[in-house]
Amino acid sequence: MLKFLRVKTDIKSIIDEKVEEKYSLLGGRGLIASILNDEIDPTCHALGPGNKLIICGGLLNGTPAPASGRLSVGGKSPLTGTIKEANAGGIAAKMLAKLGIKAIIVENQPADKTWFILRVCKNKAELLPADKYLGLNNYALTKQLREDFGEKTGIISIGRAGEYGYRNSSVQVTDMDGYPTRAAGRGGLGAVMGSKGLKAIVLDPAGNVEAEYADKENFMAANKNFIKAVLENPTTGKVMPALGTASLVNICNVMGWLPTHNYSDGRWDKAENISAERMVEIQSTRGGSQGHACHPGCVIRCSNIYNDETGEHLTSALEYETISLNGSNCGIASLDTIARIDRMCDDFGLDTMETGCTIAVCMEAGKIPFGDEAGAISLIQEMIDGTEFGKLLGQGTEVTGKKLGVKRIPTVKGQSMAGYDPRALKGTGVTYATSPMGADHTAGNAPTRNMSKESYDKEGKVELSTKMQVLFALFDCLGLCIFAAACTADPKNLAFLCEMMAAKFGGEWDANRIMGLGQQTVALEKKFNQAAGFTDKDDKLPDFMYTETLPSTGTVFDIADEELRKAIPFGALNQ
Amino acid sequence: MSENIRKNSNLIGLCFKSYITPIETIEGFAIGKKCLCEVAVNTTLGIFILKLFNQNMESIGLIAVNGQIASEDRILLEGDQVDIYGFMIGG
Repeated sequence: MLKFLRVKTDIKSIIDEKVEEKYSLLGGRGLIASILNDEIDPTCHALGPGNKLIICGGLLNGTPAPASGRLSVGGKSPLTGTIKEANAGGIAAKMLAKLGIKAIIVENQPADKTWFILRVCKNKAELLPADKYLGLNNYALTKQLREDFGEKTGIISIGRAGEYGYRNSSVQVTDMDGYPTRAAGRGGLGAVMGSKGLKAIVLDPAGNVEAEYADKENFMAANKNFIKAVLENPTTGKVMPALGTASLVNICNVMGWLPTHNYSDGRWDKAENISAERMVEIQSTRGGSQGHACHPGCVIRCSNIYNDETGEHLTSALEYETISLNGSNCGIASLDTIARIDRMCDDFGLDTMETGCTIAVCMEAGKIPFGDEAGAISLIQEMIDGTEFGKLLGQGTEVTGKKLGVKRIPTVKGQSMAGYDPRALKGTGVTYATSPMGADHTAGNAPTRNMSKESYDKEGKVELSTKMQVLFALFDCLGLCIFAAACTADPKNLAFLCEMMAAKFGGEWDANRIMGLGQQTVALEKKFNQAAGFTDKDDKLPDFMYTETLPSTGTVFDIADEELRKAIPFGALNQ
Repeated sequence: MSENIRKNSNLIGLCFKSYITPIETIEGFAIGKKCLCEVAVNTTLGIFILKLFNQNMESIGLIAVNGQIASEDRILLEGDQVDIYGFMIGG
């Protein structure tokens, strides 16, 4: 039986807590939404004692379900003021399951402003002083922690960005090589962790709790079918292991929705230089590789290792979002420079996406020119050094853009957009506008199945976004990578997932019931946001997306507010 | 591949890259790797794609020629770069 580990940072106590029945069929993002609604005042200050940081796996964590090792991190976001869940790969989620932990709930704040690490072993959890680790960034921190607690230790940590309270700070998780490369990046949850005085969570690898099943044999049979479906999907079975998410660079460029020069265009004549194909060429000369799993048990293996010019590891998982937002969006055509930015962000603990957009608005403001690689790195260095301007940048794209007088700020609810211009990819534009998380592609990226010029039409995009928001919320609840959702376009593959749920938890599971998990999650998130003061008026894109034609496609975002209000039509569930 | 060295004047040379594995063997093919192939003069993009992918057509999300979205009735020309992409699931 899994338990909650409740950490009261004000009195330095840790409580093993039995999981209430109402949470038994909730996991990942859905569990976070439910606990936050139950336990915190939505109007609380995100960096105050009233907020809580919740870290958990999904409902299928600890099972051999494919790509089921995503770690969800949640709380009220200091960046958006909304509810926030960000999830990452790495080794921590599976370790939590082996340690018998459904969720870690971190609450209050140490009155004496002391810092600590939380060490979790098989039969013991303890808070230890963090004096030795304070001020270290993630690479040095995790190296030291592994030296102190064992090489196979799993680590969830923040760099100095989280210590500083930067609203663009991430929570990093160690990967299978021990590097802190997996990021729950969005929404500034690193600052929430820092506000609790929590520098790192150290997970002992000796856990031995096995997953429980209503019918293990049936689970394994259905799981085998689901794995087969994931591997037979051409994208998740072939393209992702060969080229990773960077394969999107050329696709997005052809479609004209590749963010370029602070979203002033959607096609870039230098896109090939930052493509997956170029990355593979580079890897062939200096080492590094494609086809890595970002967490144990992932069969999609879209991660990669990118080495520097001397053949030494520079970063892992140089991903599309990082590449597009720090590459084309900043006019930077060098994968080496983008990889260096990625390394700096992982180390210091910054969301690479927010960082790329923040650099681009600085370029738009004339602080540095588009394409200035050294200038981009110097801006990140300012954040690391904690200069006055660096502190401004650490508040994210919207605050920075407003301070610099930029009119074209690509944010929704304070969070920067992802690597898809919504004037061309309108379904994703609906998601940016209406998701409870702010502009977040992982809340429901919504390309049409067959991409063509008809993709630019607005027809059907509200419905498509709604469908994808529910589907992705479901996968975030299960703790599965959203890429595994691709095969569920075929109902028979969704049925395998239903069989897995029935065999794991018992009872009857059909498409309506399983999708209900996603609906319920988004409804709970909407409920939280409403109580925090958000209304329909917040569900819109920045003005320039409605008025400024995207040159690559000749389109604007033309979905009216009243149409956007039809997205996610189940707020009334309010459970 | 240049027209100058082509032995059969009824054929043209294309540069081809695909994220979907074709059913017909193409020498040197790998996911995302550019390779060269020859087709008959006046071949349309639609005919070319059908020949390479046949029952696998539903896997194709996007077809581009020279970096632009292309329609199936486009006549292929010497030196065209044909790119076949799968369905995008987002990064």
